[in-house]
Amino acid sequence: MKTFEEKFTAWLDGNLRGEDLRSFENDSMRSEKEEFHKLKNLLRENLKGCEMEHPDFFNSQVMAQIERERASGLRRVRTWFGVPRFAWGGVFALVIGSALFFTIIPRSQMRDPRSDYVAEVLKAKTADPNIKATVDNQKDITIIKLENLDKATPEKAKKSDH
Amino acid sequence: MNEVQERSSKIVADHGPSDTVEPDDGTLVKRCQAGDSSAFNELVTRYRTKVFTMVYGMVQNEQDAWDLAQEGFLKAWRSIHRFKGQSSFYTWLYRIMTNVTIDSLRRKGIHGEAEFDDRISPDSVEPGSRTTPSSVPLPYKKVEHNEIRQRIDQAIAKLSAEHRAVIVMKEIEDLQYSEIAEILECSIGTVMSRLFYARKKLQSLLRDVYENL
Repeated sequence: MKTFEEKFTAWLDGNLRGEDLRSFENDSMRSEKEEFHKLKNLLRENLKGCEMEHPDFFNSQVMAQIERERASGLRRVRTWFGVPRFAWGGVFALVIGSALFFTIIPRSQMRDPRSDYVAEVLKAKTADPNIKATVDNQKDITIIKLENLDKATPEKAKKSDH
Repeated sequence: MNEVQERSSKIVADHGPSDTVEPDDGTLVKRCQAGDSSAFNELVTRYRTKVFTMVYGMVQNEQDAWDLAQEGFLKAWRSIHRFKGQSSFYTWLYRIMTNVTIDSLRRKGIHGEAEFDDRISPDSVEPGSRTTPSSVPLPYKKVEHNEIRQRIDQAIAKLSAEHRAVIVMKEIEDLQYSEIAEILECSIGTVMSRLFYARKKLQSLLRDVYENL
């Protein structure tokens, strides 16, 4: 269903047909149409006369701008393939490498499990100040040496045997 | 669509010598897409006058129309690789030009309710500016014509950017509703409705002008 505005516009431009057209055909509407045709003619006569001055200069300005943009585009491409590209590439690779190192590789796998035992032993407290603990890290083995410990009594030895 | 293509052919015929066949828009567009800027130069030559007339009709300022038409052609060149031929080149170019012009009018804060623009007051019109067609009228006729032109410019300045666009495309370019709708990317009903209100407003502003002619 067309609105009144649509029908009116179609009628003015001679595009209305059938029943819709008949509803617009009366004296008052006809005078309205004449008025619109005067307006239409006024606009056409006055607005159509505008001509572009120096049209060839217009072209030359457009084409000069296109050539400038092309040249700057080529320069941008050349610069991108130059030194800055490699510098940025290096920075990018470093960032990616660091991110992988700290996120993907589990931290637990990087720790030496032996260090936990060593820390456990060294952390243990004793009332005897003469007891001395020393750690000797060798290639495939860690030696923890405890000096001045009491000798185990036979009862304690038996318990530990069980 | 066929009508647009026919119109394009007519333009070619207007500009080209009768014994040589100029390439159609599609061929020139393909050459542009391959990077041939001379083909684009031909398209600019083909459409510059019509484009300028349309933009000028909307902005009523020769310098602005010149700049906007150039901006539109540059935008067309930058995005011509995206033109797939779904509409005619003419419609596609008009869409770019209309968008550029409407954006410019909006940036200037023109919403159709502004008072008369100072830039187009009688004092700012160059005495030698050409506002008439190429034939040389009698001096008193020329003054009268200039006055009428100023009244029309002032009336159009009171329209919104969208209303100016439909008036120029319909009354000056004589485009079909469907073509205008395609260019403005809106429905035919919207085009007709905008035409209704734009014409009503112009009618009220210019009644004394056309009644006294």
